[in-house]
Amino acid sequence: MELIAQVVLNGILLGGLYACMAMGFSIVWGVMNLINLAYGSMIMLGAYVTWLLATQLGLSPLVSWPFAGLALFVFAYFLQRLLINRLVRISIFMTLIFTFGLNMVLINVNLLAFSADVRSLPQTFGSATFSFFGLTLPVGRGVVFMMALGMTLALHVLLNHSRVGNAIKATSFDPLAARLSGIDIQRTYAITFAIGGAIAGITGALIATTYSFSPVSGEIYTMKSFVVVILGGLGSVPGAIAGGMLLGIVENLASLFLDSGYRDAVGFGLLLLVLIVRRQGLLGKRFFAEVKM
Amino acid sequence: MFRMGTTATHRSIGAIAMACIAWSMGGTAAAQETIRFGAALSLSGRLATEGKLVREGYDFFVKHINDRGGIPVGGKTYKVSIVYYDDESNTNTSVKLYEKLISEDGVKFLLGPYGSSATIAVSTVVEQHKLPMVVAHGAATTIYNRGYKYTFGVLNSVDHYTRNIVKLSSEQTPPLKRVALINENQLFPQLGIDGAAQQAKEFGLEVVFKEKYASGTKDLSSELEKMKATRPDLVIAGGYTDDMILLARQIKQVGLKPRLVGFLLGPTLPGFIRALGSDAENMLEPVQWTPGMPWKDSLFGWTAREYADLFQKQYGHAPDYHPPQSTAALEVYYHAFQKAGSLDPQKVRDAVAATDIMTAYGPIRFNANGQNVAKSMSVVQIQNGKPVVVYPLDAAEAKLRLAP
Amino acid sequence: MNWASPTVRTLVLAAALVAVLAVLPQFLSLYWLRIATGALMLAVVAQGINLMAGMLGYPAFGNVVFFGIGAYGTTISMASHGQSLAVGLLAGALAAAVLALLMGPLLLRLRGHYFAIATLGLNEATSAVVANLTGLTGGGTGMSLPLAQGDAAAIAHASYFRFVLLFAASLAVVVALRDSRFGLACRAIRANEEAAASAGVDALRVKTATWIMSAAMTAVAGGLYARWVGFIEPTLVFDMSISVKAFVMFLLGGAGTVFGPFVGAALIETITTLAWSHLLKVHLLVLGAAIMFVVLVLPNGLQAFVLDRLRLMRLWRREAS
Repeated sequence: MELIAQVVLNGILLGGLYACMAMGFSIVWGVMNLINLAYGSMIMLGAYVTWLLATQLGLSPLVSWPFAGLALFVFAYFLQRLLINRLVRISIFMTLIFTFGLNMVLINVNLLAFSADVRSLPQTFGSATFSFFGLTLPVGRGVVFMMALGMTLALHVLLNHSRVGNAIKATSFDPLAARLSGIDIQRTYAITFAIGGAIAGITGALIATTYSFSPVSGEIYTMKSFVVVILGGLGSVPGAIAGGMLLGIVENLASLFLDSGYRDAVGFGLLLLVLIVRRQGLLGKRFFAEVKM
Repeated sequence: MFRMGTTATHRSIGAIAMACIAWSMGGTAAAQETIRFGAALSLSGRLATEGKLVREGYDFFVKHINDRGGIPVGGKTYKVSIVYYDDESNTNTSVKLYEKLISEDGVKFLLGPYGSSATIAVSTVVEQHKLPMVVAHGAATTIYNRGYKYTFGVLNSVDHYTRNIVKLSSEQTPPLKRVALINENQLFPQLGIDGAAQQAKEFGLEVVFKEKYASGTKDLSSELEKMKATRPDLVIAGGYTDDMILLARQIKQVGLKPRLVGFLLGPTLPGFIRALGSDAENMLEPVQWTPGMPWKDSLFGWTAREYADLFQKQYGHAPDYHPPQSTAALEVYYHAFQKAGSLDPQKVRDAVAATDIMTAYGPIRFNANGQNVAKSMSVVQIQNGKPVVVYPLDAAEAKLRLAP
Repeated sequence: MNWASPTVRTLVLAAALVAVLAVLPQFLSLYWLRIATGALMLAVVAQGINLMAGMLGYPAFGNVVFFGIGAYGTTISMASHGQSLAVGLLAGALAAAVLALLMGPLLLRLRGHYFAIATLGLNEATSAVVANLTGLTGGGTGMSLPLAQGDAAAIAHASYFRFVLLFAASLAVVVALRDSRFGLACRAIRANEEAAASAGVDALRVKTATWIMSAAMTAVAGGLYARWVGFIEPTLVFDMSISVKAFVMFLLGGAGTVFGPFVGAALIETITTLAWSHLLKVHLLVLGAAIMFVVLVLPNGLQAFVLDRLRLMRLWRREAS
């Protein structure tokens, strides 16, 4: 029983990170109808910014994460303005291919700039753990969890209680009506993409605190983002949290009760099941799930 | 880009052209002729860290043999060069590039790629062309037991890796009894850990946990919780570098406290200790080679230690076992050329099969499958932030330490 | 024979293409022959995507799942049960067809990128299951096929011609489909599924049947791949980048056309190969940038681009005269 509780706790800790990560992927997909296959590589960029700040200036990731977020915000803003902007009106599949190409470019850039070596940061909290009710909570992962959750909630507030948030929501519901009511669509798209980038950057910083990474390790994060977004529902902040937690817990329970090799089979099986049974995801609003071809 | 004529004719035209070039260079030609080796390595992609070390070992040989004038074969001395490609750590690309090395670049003598999967796929192409390939970094047993005639590996195959760790554990007082095994679900780690399960049976240990995880798994804490519940004395894990760093970290985080932890690879790779700091203490790795080994090279005359010092001077970092393993593959060729007295691939292949030499990397002699059976693995442990040899006992630099 | 009919014209063109492919090895080194073999293989996978995405409008992003099933079906039949290649290919195709038959009714109700992601999930889940059925598939350690007999050139040519045959067959299937009542139903579904249904098209049945054909085609490519390379493992044959590459080829050549996938495959493979040899350190960058460029400049594929230019030129000439 204790083992199950511990495994569920592990799942929740991992789920927090998944939730934060998937937010950036979800908002871009939901608002701009753009699936960004380079998302994982943008997360890696964030991790490398954090790594640079740590090795060059000795900054702890707990301090430097806003810089990773800012760097990726700016990067994503200009990427959208200069390139992706031209794509918004063509078919969704072409944008898939486009971001696949972008992913290759980013991987190669990371390889050239940082080499293929596996990097990791010294652990801020080492292997310190915190025990309660017979459960162990690694302090480092606990902190990451709290930060991830904080970030997700901050985004929720931003989307629901700010002018920018309103513009983004209006654009995603009906671009034409939004334009008529005086919203600058191009700018809104750029800001949406930039927010997605900032979240990728911050997620990268959080990943750097706990995990090792290399230019090619982004792919797995893109895949997980897919699953979380589908599970939770597109474009919904509470959905991302639910989806992230669910995936984290299910994956961990799968490795407890089945051979841990089946972890991915269960994760993706769940994805299929949700798609078949309830396409809009657990907490997704029906509207976001409508196909925009 | 497209060549005229059938491959056979184009190859012979190529040979004639080469001969003409050599002839036209006249007197200086003898000193200029070159034996070209070929290899596609993981210079980018997920195995690039290892790929870089492999290349340094090959280049190390090239530099030092050319400094000595080259390889004498049948009265002539040849310079040595290697044609490299990057296989992006992708097996399909690797296969393509070996075909290129053979049929476009006319390379007759192949060096292995990095990693078991790539080696197993590539060896098929090389076998079809009936050209020799000396493998330096493909440890999977399945590479060698398919009856291939042209593939030779200088390293111990993966089923031997953990043998001495298990043996050591059984020799402690009191002996370690309970062993837990975990590996990435991939060719090399799987065979290695299957080997460990075999050895556990042989030395009387009980396997209390054995599981595999999917490639790319980013969190192993639940697997380790489950393992913790089985109270292992010895943990052996198999996978590639970043997974092993993750695993070592999470072993500490979940509070798993076995007396010994061993890895198929990891602790001696640059970056492992840097990433883990004091958490890396006491971790074990079976290694093909360490600078502490008592070998003396019959070609260059250097000992294992001298090899390491020279390498350090040249590349600015100490060699783990990858570079000398690469160097050894080329030394096999060196001696085979001498024995064959010819650059005919078939004769060289036969001479390679009859190899019986001593290198700074260790003794090399192949069995009928092309596996090196002359050498065994040693075991290193991280002590005070440094890898030291703890087995075999006659080469040991320190005594094995057990966690309390 | 009616020479003006599009079916006949396409078939003549297809026959000419296959004839060219048949004599091509005379002019290629073994290396380029291997590239050509790989390009044909991807052209078949792209043709499978063309059936689904081009004719039906269902982007089967994860179609590589059938490639993997085909590779494993063939290898298991041949290595574990001593069957011939033909039986192996049949077994692989059958297994893939059954998977498509089972999953089709469930997943083909999804549209757009939801269908794309469902196929991606299907591939990842299948790959994970195959990797864990250690007894049947060897798990992560993969499976080997015995070495083919003969000298290198003969083996390489045999592999190449098997793919030429498969490619010819895939062309025939696409042409036959395009110009039949069935193809008409497909196009109706692509244009407007609800309208097609109300006009009496059993949409789910048509879609599932198309997916089965696409699956079988892709599976045979996977089986031939296994025989060609001689070693398979889950990460190798369920590799999403095979799908994505095929998708890029299909889009580059022009969605829904008969020869588009081939044109795309030939172009991409040639560019990739040249990028490798000359730009060792930046070839990913160059390839990625090339893909982005194609999307920005040729969003409707090469064929449409060329036709547009031709039309423009004709217009311009008319203006001038």
